[in-house]
Amino acid sequence: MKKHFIITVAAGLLASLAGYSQDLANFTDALEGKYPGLTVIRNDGTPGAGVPRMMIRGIGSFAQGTDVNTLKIFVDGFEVQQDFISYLSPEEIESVVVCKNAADLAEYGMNGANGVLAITTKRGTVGAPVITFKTRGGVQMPINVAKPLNSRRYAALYNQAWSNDHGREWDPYYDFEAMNAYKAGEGIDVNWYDEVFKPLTNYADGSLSIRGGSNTALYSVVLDYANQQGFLNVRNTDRTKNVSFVKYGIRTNLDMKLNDIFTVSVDVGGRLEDRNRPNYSVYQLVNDVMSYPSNIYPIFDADATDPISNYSGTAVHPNNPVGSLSGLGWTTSRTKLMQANFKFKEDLGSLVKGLYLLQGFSFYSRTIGNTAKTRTYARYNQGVPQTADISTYIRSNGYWSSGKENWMQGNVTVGWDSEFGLHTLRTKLDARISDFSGSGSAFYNWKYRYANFVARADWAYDSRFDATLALSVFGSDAYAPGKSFVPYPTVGFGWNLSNEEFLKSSPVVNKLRLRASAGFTGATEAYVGIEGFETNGRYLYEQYYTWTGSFVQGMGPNFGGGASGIRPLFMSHPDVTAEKSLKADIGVEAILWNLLTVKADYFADYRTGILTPDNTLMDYNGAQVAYTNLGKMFNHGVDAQFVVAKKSGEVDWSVFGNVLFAKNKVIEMGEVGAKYPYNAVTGLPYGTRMGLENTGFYKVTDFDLDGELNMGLPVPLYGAIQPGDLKYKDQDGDSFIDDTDIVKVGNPSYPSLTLSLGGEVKYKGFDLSFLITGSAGSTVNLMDYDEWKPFLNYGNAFEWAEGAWVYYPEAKLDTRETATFPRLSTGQNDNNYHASSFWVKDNAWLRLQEVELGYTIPLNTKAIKNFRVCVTGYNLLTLSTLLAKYKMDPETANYGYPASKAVNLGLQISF
Amino acid sequence: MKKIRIVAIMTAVLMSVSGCNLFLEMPEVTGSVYLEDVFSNRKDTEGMLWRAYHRGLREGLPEGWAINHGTLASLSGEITRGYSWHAGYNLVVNGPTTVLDASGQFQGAPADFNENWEVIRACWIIIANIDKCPELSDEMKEYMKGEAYALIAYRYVGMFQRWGGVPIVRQANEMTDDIAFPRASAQKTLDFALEMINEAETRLPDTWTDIEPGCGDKWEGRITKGAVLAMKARLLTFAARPLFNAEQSYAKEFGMAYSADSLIWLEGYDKERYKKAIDAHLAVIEWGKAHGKHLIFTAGEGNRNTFEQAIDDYGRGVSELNGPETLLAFKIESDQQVYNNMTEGYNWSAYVDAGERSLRGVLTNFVRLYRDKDGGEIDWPVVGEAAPRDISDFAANIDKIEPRFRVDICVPGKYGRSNDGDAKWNEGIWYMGSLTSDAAIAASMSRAIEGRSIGVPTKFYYKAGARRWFEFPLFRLAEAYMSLAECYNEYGDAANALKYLNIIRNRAGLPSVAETDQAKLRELIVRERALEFFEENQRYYDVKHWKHPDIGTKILGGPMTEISFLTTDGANTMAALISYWDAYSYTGYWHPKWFLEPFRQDEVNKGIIAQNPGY
Repeated sequence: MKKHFIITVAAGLLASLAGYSQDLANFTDALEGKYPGLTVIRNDGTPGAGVPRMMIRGIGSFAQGTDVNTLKIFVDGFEVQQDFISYLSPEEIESVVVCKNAADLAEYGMNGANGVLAITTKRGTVGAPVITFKTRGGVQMPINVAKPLNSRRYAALYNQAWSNDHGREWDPYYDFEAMNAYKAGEGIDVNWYDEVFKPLTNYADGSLSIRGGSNTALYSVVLDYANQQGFLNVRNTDRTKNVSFVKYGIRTNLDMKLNDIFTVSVDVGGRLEDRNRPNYSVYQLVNDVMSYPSNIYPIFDADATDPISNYSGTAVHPNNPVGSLSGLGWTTSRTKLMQANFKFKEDLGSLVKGLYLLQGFSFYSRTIGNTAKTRTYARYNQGVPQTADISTYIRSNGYWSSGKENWMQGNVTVGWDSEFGLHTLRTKLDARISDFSGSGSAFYNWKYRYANFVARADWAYDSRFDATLALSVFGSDAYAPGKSFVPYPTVGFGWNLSNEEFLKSSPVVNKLRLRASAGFTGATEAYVGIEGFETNGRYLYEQYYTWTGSFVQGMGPNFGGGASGIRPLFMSHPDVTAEKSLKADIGVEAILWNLLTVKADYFADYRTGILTPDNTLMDYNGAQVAYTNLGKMFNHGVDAQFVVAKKSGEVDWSVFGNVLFAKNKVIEMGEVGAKYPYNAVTGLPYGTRMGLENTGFYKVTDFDLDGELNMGLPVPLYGAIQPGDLKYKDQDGDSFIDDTDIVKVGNPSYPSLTLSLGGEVKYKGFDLSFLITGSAGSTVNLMDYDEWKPFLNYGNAFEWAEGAWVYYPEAKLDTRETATFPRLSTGQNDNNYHASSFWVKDNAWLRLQEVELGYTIPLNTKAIKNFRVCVTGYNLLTLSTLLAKYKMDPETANYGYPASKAVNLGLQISF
Repeated sequence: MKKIRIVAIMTAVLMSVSGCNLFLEMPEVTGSVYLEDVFSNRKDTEGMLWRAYHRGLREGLPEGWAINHGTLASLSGEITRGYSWHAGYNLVVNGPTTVLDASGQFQGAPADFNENWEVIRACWIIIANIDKCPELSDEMKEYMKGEAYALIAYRYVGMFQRWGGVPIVRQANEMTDDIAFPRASAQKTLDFALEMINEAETRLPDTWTDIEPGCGDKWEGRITKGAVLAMKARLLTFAARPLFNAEQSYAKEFGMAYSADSLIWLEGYDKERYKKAIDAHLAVIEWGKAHGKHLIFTAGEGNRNTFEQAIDDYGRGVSELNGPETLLAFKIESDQQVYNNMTEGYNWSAYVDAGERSLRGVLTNFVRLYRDKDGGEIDWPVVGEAAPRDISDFAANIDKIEPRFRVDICVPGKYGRSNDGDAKWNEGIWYMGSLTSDAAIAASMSRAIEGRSIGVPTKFYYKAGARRWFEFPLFRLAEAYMSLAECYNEYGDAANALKYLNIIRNRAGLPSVAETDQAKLRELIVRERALEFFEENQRYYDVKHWKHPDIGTKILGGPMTEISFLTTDGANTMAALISYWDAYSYTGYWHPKWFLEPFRQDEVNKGIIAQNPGY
């Protein structure tokens, strides 16, 4: 009977699907592909930096943009930051539930609109201690390598760009001798990429868990460790460090039954995370590698007579990538994270049958401390210092902190369960308060408080019908006094058809359940930033003022006679409140032929009151911006999961798959200024790429002899053009190409379709498992990457620029018919680099995320219960046009630190 | 027993709910300032007003409004258009646009309508809340309210000049108010500005000296009753001028389709508008007489200054900080000290180490307006002459030119009279004049260096010495005299017109004129006003509101020319200079739509305010 109360929770059915084989160190990455409705898009592979983007059922609200995680995360019933779960050990995890339906989110109030990830950690079980030791180790390799051109190919393209920019006369910047020198390998030609990156690095982790307990006490202890080294081509010494991530985790979960009434639980999960890197931002270093041409200077300047170091450098390219790696010292940061939960339960069944009380308290803390050993180096060019830097020896820096967070939460519950006849009723009242405070680095955004009062009743009848009625009254400190609390009601119904007479004896249908729920939730966050007022949607009811520059008004001298000025910030709005979500879903769950388990949901999410800058606010009201709850969005779709599991003879196999399709539409976002309907983004999915519609390249014949565009052709208003530039369609026919010709040119940056397929076969001690993930419906805009703007800001060129349109018959250059890239220029080209259909590329991909072959060695000893060895490959195969053609990992979607694939050997022993 | 339990539970629930309210009602926001904070003490209350002063008075100055780096002098054919990144550079040849540029800035027009409103909002907040401030005396509160009204009025005067009718905002609107209302008619805008001026006038003091015990002249420079009277006089002058005061709107006159003429025109010609302006200007002069503000005029009314007296009087009149002629000045933002757009950037200071100031020579079009010191015309080179003129011709012209030129403009070889004997204001000025050492350039008569022309302005720096900053005069008493001459002439009173015109001429060392033909006298006044207010942000508005017939061909629009010099070794001494000539520089833009400026398109797209005609 009890099960009925969780059946409305769609995710509950198959919580423990494929275990938690874990991709490298990051726990959240490992959630990818395992839960219907959850999309995980990985970030780059920098050790310790990869916080993925996570979405539950797509994007329901534009309030936080497309790149920010808006779902909430609860561990053992208390909210945590995503940092906390990023590096949990899989050994700690009992279950992960993706709360996405109205019924799942009934108790979450303003925390619920964007979904909730509810994680439960493992507890002890009654019995003798089970000790499990696991260890893995292996190598990692980059997936996406995009190397800039070497000096010869760079110079060849630069000559085109230079000539294009200087009157379209063939006028090579690098003359014949220089080009010949490059060809002969005599000129400067440094492959910065290979100097900075190595193709292989190593990884190791291990964990030890002990579980057991008696009728009065249960315990679960997990220790874990991981060490992930980066791809930087530098050794770990006293003077230099590779980028790396090392974690040490410990968790102790204890349950003590004190007597018939009192049960006490104490959970402490803590972790130390050490991140090392050269004393130079890895992000910036990769940026430098990608943007510094091969021919700027040799790594070391042979003419420098500096006794400490002789790195090359110039004012234009001051940060010699090898110097950044080895010449600046290193920094290390240590993050300390802890969640400690204390829970008490009083079973008052002796007073009133079914009555109980719960109290819980949670303390969460995160602090980051840093130290460094630093030095600097002089930049030389032919013996002459180029910048003010002076070479120094390494020295130790002090300690500094880069943040602290504290979070205290508490809840009290009164519950009463009863059964009468065929009816089962569960009721509860719950009160919860939460107090989060951050480091204060963003002034207006460091303290969050909320209170949530929940009343809930679940009723079931005869195992056939059930219903849920819940109300959350949620209060947030973000809103004006008197406006803090908002009620969020939810209803849910379930019908177990398989328990009806007509299906009870069906040989095909073993289980069939229909369910539906509808309810309200809210969201408090919104991207609201103005002049350092990073409110995150908070306190907008309060009129704030800000200090400004001073002004002299009196007779006195202009120097020092001024007084400070004050002026109001944004325009306050007393009625600002939380964004509201009305969610509805209908779902089916079935087990057929005792083989196939299916569940599928159609969902719809209607958002109102999304906090949006009121663009219709007339400027004559004198405030730069006002935020109001005017935004509206609609998101709907389906998610589904199937599992087939069968044991036939000695073969034990299973296959599962997940699919999510979600499509949203902006109904209202205060858009102003769309001249034509096709310019508007309202009515399209949020984040739809807008741009000009490319119609090829300008031909030589499009211009007259003076280089002027022929009469009758629409004139682009993005600067001067010449043959080989991108040509656009004049949508409104006004003979000008400008921003009124912008149309939809591509899908948003996030996928509409997320897929996965996994499976496992076991045979005589061998096991083989795999997981394939994929997504579709997203795009990238290549203009987001400077790698696609050759030579910009003294930058680099990549192989794709070799497809440039060029026509210099005197130099035997003619790609008029075959060009795949607009004509080159040495600087910014506003016409070609404008957002357009030419640069927006679909991003659909499939990836063999994980494949593992294991063997459990049969041992004739009782001391060892299980001894298994395995070899695991991660991300070994990726099918993606983005990767194949543009050298980008389809999930990371950038040219930064590469994503990685890996092969590990593992060992697992249980005692 | 059961009842007690229920009561106890209910009490507990109520307490926890009310406790929770308290728990949620304490937003801890560090570093924030609330309205109560601002008006809890004098310093912050004043800070609110200072900010409004700064933002409100800087319109038309290169301080961050749409004009950005650049000056109205560049747009009105007084000086060259500056560097390519100055807002005026493109504006002056391409005309205004209504859209944001690629960097999201609005530089499409000389002013950004949106910029006015922050000031007006701040002023209404001050007016509504200043009574809360415990550290200010009741008298001071009234004075400060007066200042706030005056700043609102000043913005409305400015908007009236640039856009005609604009929305009338009577309070700091909140989101809960009805906040979408259209432009008011030009007449209603005028009336509202006058209402604000009256509110200010009844509250403001005549002088800030010793306004509080022991404060001395600490507050000298704040808005006085006299400054507001001058504001009113200027407003009424614009209301009387032909752009607004006409039988038909300029849209009709120039054939631009427009359906909301009342926004851009006062709906008919009324000669009495000139009378109102005359009375207002006379009131300014009368007020000045009573409060130590007067034209600096050594010889005195009815007499003619000598050349040297004129140099000194005019120099002091436009340069002296808080001088007797200045009614209100823009005092430079002190946190940037001298290093701001006003001085280091493209602007007024020619002081030795020019920053972005070198491309700001005086256009020959403007130089031709100056007469010789006895009122005769000067023969300058024109484009198309056969050969460059010998430098002796130049020297002779400079030797005989009127005193104001010598104070305002420093030229190669002859330098200027702003700071006698100070090399940094004379031969030491870098990039003075378009100099070339290339005889081939001289032979071809093309210009060597665009933008430097005959020389650089040194106005506002008379006897400045090492002071590189200056205080831009927003209201100077000379304006009352010039406007009286104009209004009397239009009103049909040539005698009074001549009286006030000749005061300005005599002060400048020029002989009196006696022209009584209205049209001819009008041209004399127009020319005199250009010279007296060179670089004072008057000409840009004057020529538009006069609908001056030459506006599109000689003043704002039409070919602009610059003087260039051939010299030896790039030196600017008389001995090194060889010859000089005039050359074409660029053609200024003009279209009748530019009589008034455009609103930003993104503001118009909101569908509430109507755009001005032609945009």
